Amino acid sequence: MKFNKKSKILGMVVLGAVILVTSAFADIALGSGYYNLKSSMKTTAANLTDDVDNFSVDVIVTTKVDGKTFAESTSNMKYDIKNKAREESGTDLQKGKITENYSYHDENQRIYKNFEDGSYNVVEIQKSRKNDSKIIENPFEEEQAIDAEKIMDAFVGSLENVIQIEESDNKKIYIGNISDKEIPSLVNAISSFVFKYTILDEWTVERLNVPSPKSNIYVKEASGKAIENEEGILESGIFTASMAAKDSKGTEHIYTVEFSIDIKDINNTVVAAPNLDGKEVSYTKEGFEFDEKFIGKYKNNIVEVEDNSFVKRGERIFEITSVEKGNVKGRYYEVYNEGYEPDTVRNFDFSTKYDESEFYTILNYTDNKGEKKQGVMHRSNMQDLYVSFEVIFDEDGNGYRSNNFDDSFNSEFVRVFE
Amino acid sequence: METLKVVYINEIFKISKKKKFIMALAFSLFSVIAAAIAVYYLNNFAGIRITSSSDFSIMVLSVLSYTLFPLFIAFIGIDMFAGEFVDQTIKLTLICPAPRFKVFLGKVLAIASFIMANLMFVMILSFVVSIFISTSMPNLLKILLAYIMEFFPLFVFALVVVLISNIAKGTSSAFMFIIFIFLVFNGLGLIFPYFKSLLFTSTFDWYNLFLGSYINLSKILRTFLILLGYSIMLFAAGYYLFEKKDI
Repeated sequence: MKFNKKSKILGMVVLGAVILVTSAFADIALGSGYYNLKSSMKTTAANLTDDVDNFSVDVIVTTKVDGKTFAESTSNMKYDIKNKAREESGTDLQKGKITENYSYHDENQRIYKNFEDGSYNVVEIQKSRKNDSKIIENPFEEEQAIDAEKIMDAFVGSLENVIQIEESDNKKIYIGNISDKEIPSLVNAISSFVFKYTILDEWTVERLNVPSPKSNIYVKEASGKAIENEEGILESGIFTASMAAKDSKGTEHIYTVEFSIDIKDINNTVVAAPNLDGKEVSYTKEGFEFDEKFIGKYKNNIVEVEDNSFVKRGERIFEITSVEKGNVKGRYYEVYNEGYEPDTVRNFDFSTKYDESEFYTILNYTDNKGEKKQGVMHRSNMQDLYVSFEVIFDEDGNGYRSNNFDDSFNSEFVRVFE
Repeated sequence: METLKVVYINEIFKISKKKKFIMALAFSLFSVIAAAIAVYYLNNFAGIRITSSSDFSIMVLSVLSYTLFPLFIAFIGIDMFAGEFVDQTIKLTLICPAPRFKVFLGKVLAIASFIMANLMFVMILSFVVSIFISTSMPNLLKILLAYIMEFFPLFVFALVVVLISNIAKGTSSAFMFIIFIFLVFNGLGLIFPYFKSLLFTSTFDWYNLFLGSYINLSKILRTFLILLGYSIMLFAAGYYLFEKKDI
């Protein structure tokens, strides 16, 4: 059987295409250590935030200079996803001094322990949080994390192959090790710049009493190991990174950060509020931003510029007439000097509901045109107010912008003492 | 074989007489010196060590692989195919008693030689410069391996240039189309990184697979096969178009 030239060429094209496509798809299917580890981290985060009832996490972060520990933080965090409760305890070592910390959070209260005198501070939460809020959010679902992931994927380049995967006892072990010779120049330059000017800036160096990195700064090495269990959850991980730098005397120092994490007791963790019987406890209420002492008048001046001078034309008065369990009622009105009244002199009542927003005290009012509108008020200084009108909230309720009637409106209202 | 050798020597002679060849060497020299100055000043004034001695040559390679090398490969490749058809000088080559396949093969081998020569020139230059900007001795073996490995993806790019040069009617359209393909492939690699194994441009930094403490042989084999697949496909398609092209 003889093939003509055209058939031979076509055969070569097909052969090349087959080799290319099969190799490329095999490469895609096998993935790299980086993509496998990333997928495992996502599975872990999704499982822990959505699928399990409770779990514990132990985290230790140690920072060393020339092998000597100068700061260490240990923390044990217990999460009860089902009952929306969290308990955290830990220690911080800085300049040879160890401080302890403890806190407990649930939907109704936050409890903090003062280790100096053994007392507790209980913050009663008055404002109801959104029903769908979780005690811990999946970090990979955050918008910033999604964008950061895309950027990392695009620029990880050859580093994605640094992570190797080994299997043992039905567990996957991710191991990565990279030396200064393998770190791309751009990564090295950016890391060194951030290290010198952000992580160990002059102020931090002085505060922590560590040698200041001055020259010849570079990433010395980085290594890590993570273990994924049979369920696809990363149960432990350790990570170490070292930077080398010379101080002002030309002496080289090695700065090391070590991070370890253990995720354990999945569905076997008990999160309980501490027993406060017989303990010294102080109580505070969160959510009632305003109480009875805020009843009174607050005002600022309506000012115009005339002949290059500031001239007072009247006053804006914000009056709080009652405060009951955080619910505020009052009136806003404007008083103009005779002859200077505009077409619309604002005058309306407002009221607030303490649990309307998790973050703000929202004013509800009907303006002079009969339109229902909203505003926001905050405490300013000790006794004054900061008030915004014609407010439009973001969809998630976390932010807002205000039109404030006109450009000359002044939001700072000063308490009137008569 | 003798015919192929004659065609190859003829094509090499033509490349060496092109101004673009001299420009490629001059720009390469300028790039290495500019990179050396930048690295030296960053270390001495900002205190940030960008590269170790061996890494300087690798850093230069990583930058030029996406810039000067592809640019001059495109210039030379277009000149040797689309350019010769446009100014009819291809007639002088084709009237020789050499079959078109050998002419095509001779031209492709000449481009391959140009790529290797350019790589070796930059490698030697950056190696010499790195001795002056660093206190430690560069690892020549590691550098040599990286530059040799970079030849393969650049050769695949050269075959893309050859293919497009045989499709395009003129040199300008060929150049614009090559730039477009190069940017699109790199852009797709950034937008869809999960599927970048399908794109030849994602192999431009595959020499890193040989430099680490852990050598992933399986990944090296897969990448080599991807490059081989591209080479066979592009060579055959390029030859088909060259064979069919009217003078």
